Amino acid sequence: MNSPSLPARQPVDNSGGKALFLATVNAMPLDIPAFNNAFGRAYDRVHRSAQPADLAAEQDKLRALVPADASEEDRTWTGHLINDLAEPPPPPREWSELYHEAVRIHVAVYPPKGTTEEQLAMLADGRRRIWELADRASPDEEWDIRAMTEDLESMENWIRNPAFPLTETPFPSSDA
Amino acid sequence: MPESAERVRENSPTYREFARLYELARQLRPTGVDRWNRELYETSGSGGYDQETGAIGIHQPLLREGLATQSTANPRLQARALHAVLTRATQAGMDLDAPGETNAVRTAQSRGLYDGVAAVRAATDLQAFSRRAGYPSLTLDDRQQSGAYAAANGLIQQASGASIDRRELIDRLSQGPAVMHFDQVAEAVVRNRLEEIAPAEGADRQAVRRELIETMLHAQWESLAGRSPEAGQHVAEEIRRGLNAKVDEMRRRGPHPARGAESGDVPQQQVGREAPADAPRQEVGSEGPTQVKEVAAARFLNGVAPAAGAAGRGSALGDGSRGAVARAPAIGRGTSMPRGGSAARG
Repeated sequence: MNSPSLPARQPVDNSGGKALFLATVNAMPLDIPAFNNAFGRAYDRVHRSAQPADLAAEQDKLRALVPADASEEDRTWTGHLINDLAEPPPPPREWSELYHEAVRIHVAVYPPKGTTEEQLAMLADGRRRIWELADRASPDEEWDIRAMTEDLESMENWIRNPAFPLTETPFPSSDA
Repeated sequence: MPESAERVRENSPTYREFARLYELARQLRPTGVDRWNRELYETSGSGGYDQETGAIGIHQPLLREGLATQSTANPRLQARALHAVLTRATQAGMDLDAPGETNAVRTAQSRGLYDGVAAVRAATDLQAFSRRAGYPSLTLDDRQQSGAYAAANGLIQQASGASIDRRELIDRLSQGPAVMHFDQVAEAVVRNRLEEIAPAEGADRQAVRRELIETMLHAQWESLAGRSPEAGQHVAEEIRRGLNAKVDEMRRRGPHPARGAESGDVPQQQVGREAPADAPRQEVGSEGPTQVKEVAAARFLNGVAPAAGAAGRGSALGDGSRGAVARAPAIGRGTSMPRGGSAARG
């Protein structure tokens, strides 16, 4: 178990503005990205590892990452998160038949087949049918069902307007 | 099925809350790129990040009801709303292309991995993000995640290890550019499992990574669409085995010739815990594989374009096809978010 370490950051900013303001307010600001990753690693050790973990020790290690003179706001949210560490992940959800039907539609239209126009039509049809199911779903499932269409919409947008040309093979330019 | 989109006024509380959250999302995992053009749209569909204009769209109810610390909206809606902010911020926080990079991958899988990386980053940071932003603690069950998530998560899981762990890899991937994601995953494999035989950074190490990338894109993704979950699980396993076999093969070859002069025969010991390449890897932080998830991954990696299945098949290192360009350059303008602001709602 290696304890997370704080990378040296907090570059000096003499340009004024927000950074200087924050530096003045917090003599020793919280390193937010480091805390975020440390929390995630602690969460994995406590809740997702086969090895037993020492919850209190993990919480202490996280508290040690919050400087004593950190802002009130930073002490509040990190405190909540450190307390959250004790909460186990929610149990797997039981999905309704509507949800499973939406999954089946997603499977049927992804990947889309045929010409570009046919692919676009297939994706759009899949989105429409999944949203219709979401309209009928309970509030508990509605938003998770709708979220299934993000992939479909993203692919549709790309087919319409690719941000760069796709190649068939990973390294065509190295073809000698 | 074009969706409608209405521009959100910059002096509105909704816009201000979104902008606050966007900055907090960037603080949690900072990157050197910010491509959001500061236009926000409430959309009738899912919305997204518009690669062309830099605008961000979010489904109207998520934006209106989900993005408020005191919201009485149901927690599922609120979780999806914050997830959408994180996803958009991640996509806007990196470049897509990397002109001139030898190891850039521009296949359909790269496009999908870009979506997947954003989804993994969003799910990974959701709980801390919600607390940082003053919301209740929100999480998403990984079984609710998309195919893009499942595929990206699978790759991240396989590449993570003692030297570059899951969160370090997510950090690196969040930096982009998108076409370098496979290279970044491959570098994690090198650092975690091949460091003592790999050459120092340079052309030779890039070649080692290309060899690994070919393996990741390989396998029979294409045959899987619409088949059973068991078939999906089988292929996910094939990918894992293929990558492990490649790592084994490289290790058997011994130290790369290019490192002989610099390091002699003394392997570096910087990989703390050296797991056998084919040993079951402990899936810390992973969201245990399920059959549904894996078939989703298979469909996703297969699915992006008809040409995708051919990627890397049977090709040896670096000898890809002759630059087959599967798609015309961007000429259309059919993005999801109209650049005007007048749409369905007045």
